[in-house]
Amino acid sequence: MENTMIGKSLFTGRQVELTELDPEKDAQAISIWTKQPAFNRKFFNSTFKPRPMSEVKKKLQEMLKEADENRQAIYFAIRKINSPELIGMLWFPWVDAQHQTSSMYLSFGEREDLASLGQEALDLATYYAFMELSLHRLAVTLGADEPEWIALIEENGFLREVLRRENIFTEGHYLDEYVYALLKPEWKERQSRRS
Amino acid sequence: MKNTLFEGQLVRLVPIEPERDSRNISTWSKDSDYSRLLDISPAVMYNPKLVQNWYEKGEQHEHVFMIQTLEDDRMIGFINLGGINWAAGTGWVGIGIGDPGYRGKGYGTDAMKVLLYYAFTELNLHRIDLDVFEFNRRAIRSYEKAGFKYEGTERERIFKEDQRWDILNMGILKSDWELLQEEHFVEMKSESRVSA
Repeated sequence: MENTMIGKSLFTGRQVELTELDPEKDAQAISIWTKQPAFNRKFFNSTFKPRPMSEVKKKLQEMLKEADENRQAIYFAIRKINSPELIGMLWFPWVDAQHQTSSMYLSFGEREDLASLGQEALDLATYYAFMELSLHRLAVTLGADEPEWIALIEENGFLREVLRRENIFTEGHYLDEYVYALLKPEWKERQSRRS
Repeated sequence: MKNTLFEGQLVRLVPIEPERDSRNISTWSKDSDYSRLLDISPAVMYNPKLVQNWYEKGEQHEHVFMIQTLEDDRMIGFINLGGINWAAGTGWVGIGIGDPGYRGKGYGTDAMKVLLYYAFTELNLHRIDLDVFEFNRRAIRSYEKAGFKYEGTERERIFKEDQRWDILNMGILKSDWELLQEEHFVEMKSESRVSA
């Protein structure tokens, strides 16, 4: 059988790479991102408030320790190639191996990075999800306050499956929340059309 | 105002007593149909001591209740309101009727109605949602009767019996629920006019 597995990096794109997270060095950038309600919602899964560096560092340490012990969650830092600066995060909070499914969170600190590097990061993320984690289904939950992500996810073939009415409360308003998903056969079909 | 917040037409919701209820919950876990309708995790059996330990530890089970029949005080299942986000006023609900003799007879629907009354009038929640497997038609009908609306389908989320199955998402807003109460009140009034 032809060896198509060895000799390409799962983690390196043209402009960005996935690396390990470092609680000591990365807490500062993440602390700044906690001022964004959508990031805060996913990272802390609790009431919105900006978090100090010390709290972010502790949270990162706990998350990585739990991921190491339970082997269910997977976290990556997103950095520009050869740059130590954290510009985004990719994580799979619970890889459900029995059903070959997972949800995925992808975040960038800066809107400009999402616009210029989002597609490449998403390509790395979906390749890893389907070809390394061997998922059948990859889901992304997004709020109505994340229009740039919604556009990118839809352009990449994710289907809006669920509309949770008024599931988010922010700035005095209720917002809808959406579950998007891409199935492996759909992803493979798109890959073959792209190549 | 209702005299008994936790009492419906057929059932009441009562707090879990770990020692008393762990035996029932353990017995129900031996019924694989029950496990497969309740949870996507692999069906496994739990011994009573383990179940007792979960509930004695307890903070995460703050809003879990046993479902008890009004007619003979029998414990037939449980209902759990979890994942509460107090700022958004959201949460999810899970329910299981463990005693097979009480499935499909309105006991679960009645328990759900009691829970929704509690969630919306006492906890002041804004929205409750739930997941239900596509092969659990009886539950889907029950949730519709309680007022839940279909919000979408997670495609091929379950892999069991060498086959992929969908999960349906349903939700109810406080405003949906209030409208149902008004409609119910109008129905009651017109019925009493007819019978008068």
